[in-house]
Amino acid sequence: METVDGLRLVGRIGKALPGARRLGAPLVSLDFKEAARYLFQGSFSAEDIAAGAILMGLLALTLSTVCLAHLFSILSAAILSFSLAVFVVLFVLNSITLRYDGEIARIERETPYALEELATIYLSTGSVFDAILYVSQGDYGTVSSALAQMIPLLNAGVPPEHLLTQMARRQPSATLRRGILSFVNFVQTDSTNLDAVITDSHENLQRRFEHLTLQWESRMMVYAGLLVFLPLIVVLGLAVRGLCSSPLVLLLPAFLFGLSGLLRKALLPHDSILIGE
Amino acid sequence: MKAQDKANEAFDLFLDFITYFCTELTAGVSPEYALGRAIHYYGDRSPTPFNSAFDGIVRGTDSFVSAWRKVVRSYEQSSQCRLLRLLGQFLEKSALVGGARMLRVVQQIRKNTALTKSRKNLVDAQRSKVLALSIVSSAVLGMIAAIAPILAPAFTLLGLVHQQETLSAVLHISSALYLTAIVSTYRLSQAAKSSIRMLLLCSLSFFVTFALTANLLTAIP
Repeated sequence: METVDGLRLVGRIGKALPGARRLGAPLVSLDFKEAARYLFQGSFSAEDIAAGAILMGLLALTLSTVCLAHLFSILSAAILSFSLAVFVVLFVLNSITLRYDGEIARIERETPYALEELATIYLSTGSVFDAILYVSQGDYGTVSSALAQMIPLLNAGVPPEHLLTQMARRQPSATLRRGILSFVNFVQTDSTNLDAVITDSHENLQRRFEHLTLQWESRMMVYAGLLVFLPLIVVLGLAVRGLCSSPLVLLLPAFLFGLSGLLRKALLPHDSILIGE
Repeated sequence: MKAQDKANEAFDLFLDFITYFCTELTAGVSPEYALGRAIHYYGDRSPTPFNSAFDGIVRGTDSFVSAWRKVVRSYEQSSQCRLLRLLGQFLEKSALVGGARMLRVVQQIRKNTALTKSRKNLVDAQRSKVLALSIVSSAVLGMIAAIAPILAPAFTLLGLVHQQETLSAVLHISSALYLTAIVSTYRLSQAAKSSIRMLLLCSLSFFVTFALTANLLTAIP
């Protein structure tokens, strides 16, 4: 996780204010709750984040009303800053889901290889311990570290099947969950669809990649359209207000740079990491 | 583009080599023998790290495990590295089971490369679209930059604004618009993974339209 973490800050703000939880509660869906639980490991709840997001929105609302009231009439300033506030709230909520999806993508990218290794080491040595040890030492990111956490418990004599089932329950990725569970099943009953599940995890990755590739084209067009038309609209608006000659217009490129960075994060997220490259 | 094609070809060859090696393994021979067979089959075309590893094994300076580790190290920082490390782990335990399983992994990786190729084609197709779009948008911004000094007084005539025109004002708006064109072009080229040359083309289009429009405006009596 990053050290400077805006979302964590938002969550902390939401947690600090006592009554805020109730404010955020209506915004929380089941998926969102799961994402917040996984990303923040219980340090704050989904309601805290939502409350923090609403507070950020209110902050944006007041600040931008004050600023925009100099440029426009008070009514249009209010309308503009209200939409800005809604945008801020949606952006915060969306970025949590995006980060969660990215985390899942990162796990699913490693899953097929980790499962292949788990199965092969088990098949050739007949030892679940060896299989877990090998995969935990391999470089499979979250999968390896989750398995590495098991090793002290394994040494203490807890049955590996039990630990693997427990671990599978905590995983956000359905593919990994299914893979680990069918591995456990394979170990216990020796007859299962483990190979089919592993092939499926490869294919799941490929389907996801294809899906994102199809989306990429239209997302790219939206991004390009926004980048082309936003400056035009803003400049024409400024010209109508006669603000074109003030040195303030030099802020426009900087503003566009920041905004396009945010847009790019939201519209064109981490997709090609799925299959190597 | 040439370098890209070469890398793709090398990757295909690598996959073929690994496939041959694993097919030999599934016959139940030792990894050393299978590697020798694969290198013999591919001759000069076999990837160099494998050649030198096999030389080490034949000369007796390396065990198979340490030779394989050298191969993995020589492929570090590339997508082959993970595959090789996995195969190495497999071979340490059982060449027979590992070889058979690796064949399946390689088959999936072939599918993956086909997918990445199709995505690359898509990105290539978008690239020209993006180039056209940013050239046009730079041209429009250049035109607005030239018109802006007139726009403001026009609105002044309408009674909306009161101000006069100075050289610094013209400089402000045109440099701001130029930077805007550059920023949006840069972001688009980043997203479509196109070359930085796009910035030059868009600058050119900005200045050409700027000059032409300014010229037209001065020609009006």
